Amino acid sequence: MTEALQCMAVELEAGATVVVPMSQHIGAPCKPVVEKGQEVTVGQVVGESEAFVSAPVHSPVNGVVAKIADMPHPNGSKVQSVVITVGQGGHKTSQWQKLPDKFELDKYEYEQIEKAVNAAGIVGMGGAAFPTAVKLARNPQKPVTTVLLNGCECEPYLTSDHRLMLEAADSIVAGLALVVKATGASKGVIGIEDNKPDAIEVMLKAIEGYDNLQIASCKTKYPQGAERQLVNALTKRVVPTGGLPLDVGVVVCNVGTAAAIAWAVTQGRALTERIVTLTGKGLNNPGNFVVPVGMLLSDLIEFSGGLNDEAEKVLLGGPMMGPTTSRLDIPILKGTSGITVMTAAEYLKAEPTACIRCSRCVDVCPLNLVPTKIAHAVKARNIEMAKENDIMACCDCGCCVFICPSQIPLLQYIRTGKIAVRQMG
Amino acid sequence: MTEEVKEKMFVVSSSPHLVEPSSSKRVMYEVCIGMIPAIGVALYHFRERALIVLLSCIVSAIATEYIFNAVRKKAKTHFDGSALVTAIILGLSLPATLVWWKCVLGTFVAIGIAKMLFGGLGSNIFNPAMVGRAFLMAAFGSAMTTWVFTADQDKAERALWSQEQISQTVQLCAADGSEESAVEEVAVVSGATLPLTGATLLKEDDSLRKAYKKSKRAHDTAIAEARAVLHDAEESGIVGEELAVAQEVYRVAEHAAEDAYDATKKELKKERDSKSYKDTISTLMGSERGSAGETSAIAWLIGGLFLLVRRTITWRIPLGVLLSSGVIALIAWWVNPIANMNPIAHWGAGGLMMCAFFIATDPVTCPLSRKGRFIFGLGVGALIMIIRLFGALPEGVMYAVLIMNMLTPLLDRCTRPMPLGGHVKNA
Ligand code: SF4
Ligand code: SF4
Repeated sequence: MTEALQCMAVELEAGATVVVPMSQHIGAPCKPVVEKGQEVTVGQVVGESEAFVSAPVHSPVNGVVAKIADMPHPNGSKVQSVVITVGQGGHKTSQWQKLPDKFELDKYEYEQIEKAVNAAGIVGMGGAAFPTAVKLARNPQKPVTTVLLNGCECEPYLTSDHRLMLEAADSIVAGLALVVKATGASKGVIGIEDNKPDAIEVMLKAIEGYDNLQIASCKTKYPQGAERQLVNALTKRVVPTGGLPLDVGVVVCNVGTAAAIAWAVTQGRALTERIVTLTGKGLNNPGNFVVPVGMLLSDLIEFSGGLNDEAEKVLLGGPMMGPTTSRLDIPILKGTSGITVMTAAEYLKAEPTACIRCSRCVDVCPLNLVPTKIAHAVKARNIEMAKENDIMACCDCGCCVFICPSQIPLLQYIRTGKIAVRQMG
Repeated sequence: MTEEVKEKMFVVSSSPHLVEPSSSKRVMYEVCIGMIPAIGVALYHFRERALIVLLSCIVSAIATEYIFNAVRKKAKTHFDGSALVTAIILGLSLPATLVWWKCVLGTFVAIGIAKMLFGGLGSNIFNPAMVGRAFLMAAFGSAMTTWVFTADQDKAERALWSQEQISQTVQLCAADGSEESAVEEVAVVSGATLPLTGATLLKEDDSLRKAYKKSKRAHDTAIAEARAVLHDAEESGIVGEELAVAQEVYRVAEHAAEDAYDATKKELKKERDSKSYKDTISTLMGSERGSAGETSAIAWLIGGLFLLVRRTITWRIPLGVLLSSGVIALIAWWVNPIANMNPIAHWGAGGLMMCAFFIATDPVTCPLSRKGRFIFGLGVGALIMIIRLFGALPEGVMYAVLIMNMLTPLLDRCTRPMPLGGHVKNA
């Protein structure tokens, strides 16, 4: 699956329309601030919220608002969205990966950085989509000592972070320096998996001149890109269950987010485009693409080269955690880092057989849970026992299912159990 | 294309969408592959006898599983490999002389009762093969402890013996009532010629140890008695000449006891020394008497390493077993090399290697967590040595495994790993 990595990311224009959902992040959804028929330009705010945990959304194109309605959303439901008919001039990108002029860190103060990040609507681009400005907000009770830059791909198959490091190293490093400054941390560490020596090399060059930044190579091992694992691998600190990295003085930031921060602070660019990996055997032309946020998945797939006849399953994300989608008329969000299209041959599973207590699921669980025990408890409808076995700590990484020789859908049981626990209150 | 795409129904399912191309079946068959060297050694040493034992076990294991599933109207699992693993382990831990129907009976108990009645693969508490063997031990004790020479040994020994001596031995054996059934057994299997039988290495070790203990006890009692006599004499208030005589008597008795003890020790030591090198080699290579498959430690080691490399098993249980048994054997040997066999021979003998890599590692009946598995291994190794050194039985693999199986649920509870970041705090 490395074919996608070898080539430069390709820029794609939006299709005839784009759909900008009011909720692309964790937190309060935005309210539309444009009206039907109104002309909008690239980077214009189309939705805002007063809430603290939220992020504004912008138009990725020049065009006209066609309608404001509930549109299909990648999360499977319908969400209020601004639908824009793409007009003349369309989506403009010039030298998207570069910083325009010489970057001078001293020019920017904390308030300025936070404001720019907030105004640009930046959210975590690794997938969680947590508003970044909230992360930067200083909390005297929980001082930040270290900023970790996550250069570990969050899933196998996905290469967008790797590609971005190769193409926009300077922007990423500038973004990290800004985050370190904004949070008042003493250092920034860039964690890169050891199977990406080219990225390590480029990044090493990019951090020259910053004495508080460093590169750490970490083992290539899914889910290394998950926050908990990364914090543990790079700082040896353990994020408490149910807590945040901030609880141990760490802020984690994805490479894409860092680059977006640099562009927002230096050029005032809103987060209206992102790099997306298209991968899987069901695609004619997999690769990395830079696309406007709000572009329809169907357009993206078609413009990239289309699906082949074997395409059977479309995942929003990578093959380990990506949820499936049955429809393609949904937009790319700020947090969409990849699309995987699988063929039947790739995912066909054998029938589950009895658990042989081989303990592979126990050994592989990154959170040290006992998946087989939890699954058995759920199967026996013993929710109390599932709770005792820390079912709620599970991060849905899917490693246990991947490894189970008996093909037991452990995670499906665990998810069912989690829903039951939540219902119990 | 767009239209077509919109028409197309995509598959919706729960993540993850990738799985490792492995299956429980494959795990089981890999275990079987790991046992090939040991099977080869068994067939080489015991020829058609081993073949008959193995085949009876295998055929009856698969048949038993099939019948139980059919009767209880459950999915067919007889070819999932687990019955085969149990059958081979059981077959290789039986003496090659066991008649086929006893093998079948043992297999029936192993698969039918120890596994299927508990709910089939994954639900059994005890290692099925060990339950089957325990049953046979209880039911046919003497047949289960009759160990024939290997084919090579048999030939060599026979060459030394004249036909006359052989028939004498046969008569002698037959005359000895307690051995009768064993001899019959042997005669049935082998047809006209009586195979030569002998003690296993552990049995020999055991008798040497017992001989040592006996002579020590004799020495201790002799001295104690002499001392008591002397004490009585002193109490009675004798003086002078008479006292000197009593003391002299005591000294003589003491000397005699010491001498006898020393002589036995020397003899035992000679026997140990004459054997120790040869025994160590022969347990490793498999030219020693024993169960069909437990004779060659090297064969099991090769198979075990194969499983480790294939990651079919993890290293914790084998290491635990070898570590605790090795340490105990080493201490015993160091303290008293006359009474105790050297640790390498202990490792090589009595199926300890087979246990470390193939029996104790049965996933179903060992704990889930890494720590639990290591403790389990340590426990099995320690129990084996305790039974060998202090118990009435010369070997201990079977009971050690069964006892630790019983402790598995407890170990599971006590060694549950702590989630990264601590337990979920329940609101
Ligand atoms: S999905 Fe499985 S492996 Fe991953 S955290 Fe949950 S229980 Fe552990
Ligand atoms: S990996 Fe599968 S078979 Fe093995 S213990 Fe876990 S659930 Fe059971």
